Parts: sequence; structure tokens; C-alpha cells
Amino acid sequence: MNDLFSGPVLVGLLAAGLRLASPLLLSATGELWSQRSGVLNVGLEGYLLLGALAGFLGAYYGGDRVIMGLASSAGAGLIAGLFMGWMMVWWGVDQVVAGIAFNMGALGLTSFLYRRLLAGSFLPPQVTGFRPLLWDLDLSVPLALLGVPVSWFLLKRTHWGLAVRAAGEHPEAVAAAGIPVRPVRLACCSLAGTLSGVAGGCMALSLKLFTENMTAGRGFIVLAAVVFSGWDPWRVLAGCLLFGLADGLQLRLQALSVPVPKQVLMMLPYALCILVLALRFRRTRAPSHLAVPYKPG
Amino acid sequence: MRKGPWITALSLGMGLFFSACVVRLVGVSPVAAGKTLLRGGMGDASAWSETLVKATPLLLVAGGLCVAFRARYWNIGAEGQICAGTVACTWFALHMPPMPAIFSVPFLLFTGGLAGAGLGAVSGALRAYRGVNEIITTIMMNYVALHAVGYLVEGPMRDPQGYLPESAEVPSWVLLPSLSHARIHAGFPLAIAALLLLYVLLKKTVWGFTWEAVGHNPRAAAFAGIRVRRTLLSVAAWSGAMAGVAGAVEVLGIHFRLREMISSGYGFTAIAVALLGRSHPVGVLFAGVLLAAFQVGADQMERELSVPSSVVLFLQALIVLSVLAGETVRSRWEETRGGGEG
Repeated sequence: MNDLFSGPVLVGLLAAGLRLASPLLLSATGELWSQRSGVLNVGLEGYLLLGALAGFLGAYYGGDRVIMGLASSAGAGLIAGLFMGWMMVWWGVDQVVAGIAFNMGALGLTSFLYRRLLAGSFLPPQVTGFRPLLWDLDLSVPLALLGVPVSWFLLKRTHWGLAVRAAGEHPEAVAAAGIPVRPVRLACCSLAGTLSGVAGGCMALSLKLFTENMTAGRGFIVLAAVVFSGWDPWRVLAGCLLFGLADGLQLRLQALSVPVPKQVLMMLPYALCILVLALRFRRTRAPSHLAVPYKPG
Repeated sequence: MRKGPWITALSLGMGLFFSACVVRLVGVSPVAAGKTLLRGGMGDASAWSETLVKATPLLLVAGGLCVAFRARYWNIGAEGQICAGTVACTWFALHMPPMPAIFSVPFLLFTGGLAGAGLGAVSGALRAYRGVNEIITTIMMNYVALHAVGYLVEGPMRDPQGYLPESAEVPSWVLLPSLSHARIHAGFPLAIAALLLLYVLLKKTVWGFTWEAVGHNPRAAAFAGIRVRRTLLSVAAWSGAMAGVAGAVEVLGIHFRLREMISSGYGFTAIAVALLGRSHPVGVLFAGVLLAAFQVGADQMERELSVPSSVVLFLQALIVLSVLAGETVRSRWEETRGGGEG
């Protein structure tokens, strides 16, 4: 265990944590906007999966270029976010049930398409994907980190951000101020879709391949990070880093072959997620109209 | 006139239509795919037997989810709770003294149910007493439980004589009786009985009312003297227990041992069954058998036409989303007409 805490290993661990946290952070930033505007995306897991497949296919068929992967994952996420926003904001369907169903559909569709298109070969097809910029940090890290101050500034310091926050707290007031509530919410929901799509694309591009259900519950870890953070951009960063580090630690420990069964290590991020939600000491309040559909009078 | 069943039927049609489009998109004739799907799931006696074998855990789990969903407690963790049931049932089956099946089988089903209830109750307690969103915790519990089963079958519970990561086979005097030469076993009538019991509970007892009251308006329920937190905890435990029993039934009726992937997604399909069945026991019965037939038929489709069977997941999601949209349209339509006949 001693060599775990030596300098280079620790730096490596932090870098791995940051790299694993950055897709979570991208997705969480989008979901923060969405929840602040009053739309709960239980379907984040589905956006991530669709984005991962789209990102992989984009890079695979687009001449092995990262930019093609990112663009197609953003496109897939945007379409998914618009579709779910249309269902949840315009039709006012139950956001929880819609999200659960969407996750199921995304899992089915991605597995179906992947198996049909690519799984014939013996070895899983690969793309070059991200190249490391520094240690093993790749492009997803600056991308994700950029979103935090930008979101903070836009949400807390601009009229636009005020409209978004008010749409989640008191939509009638927004409507009275002459701002249409539903377009604001639809835009935020599509933002969650787009950023989560890109996040999924980043996962595929840093793994350099796609596997069925490769997100393995990360969409829900993102939801947990948003709740845990009390709907604040900076603390969302902290929450995602926590989960990224836990995941990185778990992977490192597996690689070091510590005398702990690998399944127990693999449980670590999930167990941590339950634990931090259970131990959330400071009572933070969700946006009061979260998941409540708005009907223009 | 009751419009609910019509909307469900229409949504079923929409789901099938869009799935046909996807199948068409990858270059397979939707008509051929549909024929294979139906033949594989309902074509002959052996297809029906397989369908009812798959329907058994779905009906048990979805029956439990009905209770939870009525109280608007979103238990997405049935997959993990099934795992808990399989582990407890197998462990007791391997360690209990010999006794007639009439005693051992109910006892083992009970242990499975207890384990599932325990796992479900953790999320329930977190929701009821600490306000933690149960969707997140139940999903996380799924992964914890799946990895725990993986550890157990490779470590402590592994059969030392076996080649695969599996437990030893449970003794023959704990098995659920078989109903024919095919794989169908006594678990299916058990699931029907469970749904019947659920129907009685929902319609004839105060519990059914309590669950719905908490689901519709927890504050009003609290004013009416219903203990909302305790109700949430109990629906979490009940739905977990049903999933645990389903896990035990799978061990004692089909697999006869603990292995990974016993549940292969029943916990998630059951969510679609409960939603499609509108959290009503009769609806669940039809939805459960239908989705089980789709699953069996899809395996046939994969073998014959190499259409990946996961298209069924997509189909289920589309059906649920269509039902949801249809319900919303109906309620809005009734509103604009100033309260329709419902």
C-alpha cells in the first residue's frame, strides 16, 4: 500500500480522477441548468449512452477524427434533449416515468445499432480517440472545466440566468415578466442533452471503443452530484471530482492488485454515491418547481 | 366508456410501428421480423412455455412495483433486489437440513423475499427519513448487488468442484415442482396467486387506499392521519420483497444454483410491465405475458434473422412513452371539455 501514496502515483491518481470526472462534470453542468429551470432529466444515462455511441460512430466513420466524434455526439445529445424536452415541457408528461423509459430505449437502441453495425468482427473495433494533452489528461478536461465558471457567471450574473432560475422557482413570475417559460425550459433541457451527449462522446473517445451499457449508471451518479452539490456550479465541480477520484482510486487499486476482491473495489463509486447522499448534512433545497410541468394560462 | 385500455392499445401500435421503422432501417423486412417475433413467443406449446417461464419473474416483480409506483415511490432497484433474493435463497438451500419440499420451498421463498425487502428498505428508509432520491439510490444498489453476486460466485459461494463461477447445485428436495416436460414450473401459478392477492389488497383493504393517498398527495395523506414515512418505507420493502421472491423462484425453478446474470434484466423489464399495466394487477398480467412473449420472440428473431434482440428494449420504451403521451393528451382533452366522463 505504501507505493500508493508516493509522489508520482498520487499525481497519476489525481490526473486519472480529473479525467474520469470530466465527462461527469460536463453532463452535470447541463443537468444543473435543466434542473434550475425546473426540468428533471432522469434520462441522463440515456443521453450519455446515445452520445457515446454517436461519438464512437462519428469518429469511426468520419476518418478517425475526434472532432467528428464530438460533433456527432453533440448532435445526438441535442436531438435527444429536444425530444425529451418536447415530451416533458410541451406535453407535460411525467418527467420521472419519461426518463426511466428513455433510459431503457436508449440502452436498447444503442445495443441494437452497435451489434448490427459493428459487432461482427472478432475484436471490437477501435478509434484513435483523444490524445493525452498532459499526463493522461485529454481534451475533455479543459472542455468540462470551462463550463463551470461560464455557467456560474451566466446563471448568477445575467438576466438570462435569472430567467432560468426563476423558471424553476416561480414560473408564473417569469411569464408575468413577459418571458415565455416553456422555451426557456426547453432550451435548458436541450442543453442538458447536448452536454451529456458530448460527455458520452468523451467517454467513448477516451476509452477508444464502445461497449453495450458502457456508462454503467454514471448518468445517475451525475444526478447524485447535482443533488449533492445543492444546485451550485462550483460545488457540482467538487461533487464530480469526488466521484471521479473514487473511480480513479478503484481502478488504480485494481491495477496494483491489492488483496481486495475486484468486485468490492468496483462497488466503491456506487457505495460512495449512496453514502454522500445519505450523509448530506447541510439541507439544501431543490428548485421548488423541479419536475412540475408549466401550463401557460 | 373506459378509454384507458384503448389508449394502451393505440400506444402499443405506435411502439410497434416505430420499432418496425428501426428494423427496416437496418435492412430487415419488418413483416418477416414481426412474424418471427410472434411465432417465437406464442407460436406453439413450447414457445408458450418459454414465454410463461419468462413471465413468471416479470409478474412477481411488477406486482411489487405496482405497490411502489402507486405510492409514487420509484423503485428502479428490482434488479439488485432480485440478486439479493437469489443469494439468500441459494445460501439457505445449501445449508439447511433436509426436509419435505412443502416446508423447504416456502421457507426459501421467504428468505429470498426477506433479503429483497432488506435491500429495498435501505433505499426506502433513506427516502423516508433523509429525503434522499430513491431513483438514484436504488440504481446504485443495483450495481452494488450485481458486483456482490459476482464476488460471491467467484469467492465464498463458488462450487469448488465446478469449472464455472457458480455455486453448487441446490438439493433436489427444495425445487419448485415442474408443470410439464418443458421448463415451466410452479412459479407461474404462484405469480398469478400473488397478483390475485395484490388485487384484493388494492381493492378491499385500507392499505391499497393508503398507498394511493400517499402517491397522489402526501400532505393531504398526512393530514388524514396516514403515516407517510412509514408508508414509503413499507412500499419500498414490499416491492423489494416481491423482487426477492422472484429471485428465489428463478433459483428454485430454473437455474438451481447461484450464478451471475440470473436476472438478465427482469428488474428493468418489470418496470415497463408495471407502467404499461398502469400499476393494476390485471393490466400487469397482460403486459407481463406480452412483454415476455416479445422477449422470447426476439431471441428467435436474433437467431433466424440476426436482428439483435435488444430491439425489444427499444420497443418497450417506445410503448411506455406512447402510453405516457396518450394519457397526457387524454387528461388535457378532458380538461378542455370541462371534465369528461373519464
